[in-house]
Amino acid sequence: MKFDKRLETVILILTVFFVLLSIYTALIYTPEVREEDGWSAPKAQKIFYFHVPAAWVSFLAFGVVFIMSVLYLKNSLRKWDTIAFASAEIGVVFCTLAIVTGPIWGKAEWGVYWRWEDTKLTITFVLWLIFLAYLLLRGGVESENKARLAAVFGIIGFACVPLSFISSRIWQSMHPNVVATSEGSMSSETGIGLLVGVVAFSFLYMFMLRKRIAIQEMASKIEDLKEKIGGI
Amino acid sequence: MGELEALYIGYSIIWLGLFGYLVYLHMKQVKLANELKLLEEMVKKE
Repeated sequence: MKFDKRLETVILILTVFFVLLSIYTALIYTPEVREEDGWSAPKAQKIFYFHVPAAWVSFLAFGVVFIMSVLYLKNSLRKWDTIAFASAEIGVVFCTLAIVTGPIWGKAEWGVYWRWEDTKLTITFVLWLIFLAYLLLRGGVESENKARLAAVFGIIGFACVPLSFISSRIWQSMHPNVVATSEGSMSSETGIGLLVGVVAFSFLYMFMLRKRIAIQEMASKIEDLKEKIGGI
Repeated sequence: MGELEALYIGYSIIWLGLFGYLVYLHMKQVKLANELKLLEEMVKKE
């Protein structure tokens, strides 16, 4: 318990530190991209330093849902289901932020908010819908097999993550590749800015996950106590 | 949409969204903690 509290404090301190550092690197440290390099909205490009980490953390969160769902189907322990549910909710929050900020940057850069023919955008949107449905399923369906059903849903939904990640490489897309290609178009400052953003959001994810799991455990305790009181 | 306008809107959505979610988590935690305490007291009494 004492170790848990200490770990939570360490995660909180690291989260605050990296979030502040990420704001500094994004706004001050990283240089503005140049119009000569093909950017039509250099100032709006700074959205990239939080748009990409938000997308990255949503993929990480859905990856955790996948692993926990597999573990739950294997041995039906409640803790795996609790972590999967908590991670899915946080994943949807980060995915929403990535999906909303992308078009804002896109409008400034490309002149359009969205293009349905772009596979990366469409697959990411489908991924968001799948996990939104996952949360609705958890909240709405009254069944003993709810957790099992959600686990299967989480595993299938995760298939969109690698597809979204590689889609701009294998299909035509106006969305830029983030991970450096052989042409290596990212400067070292941009790379550092992006890395700090990813680390900051990953710590934020860990902090939120611990909080969300605690909430879920409390809700389960309340349900158990209510049953106990009802049974007396 | 102008460049700076896009930047301000984008950053506002990111930080208000994250901060809003953290506040939601905190409020839910406080509410459940109170409910749990109340129920535990009820069980003890019975």
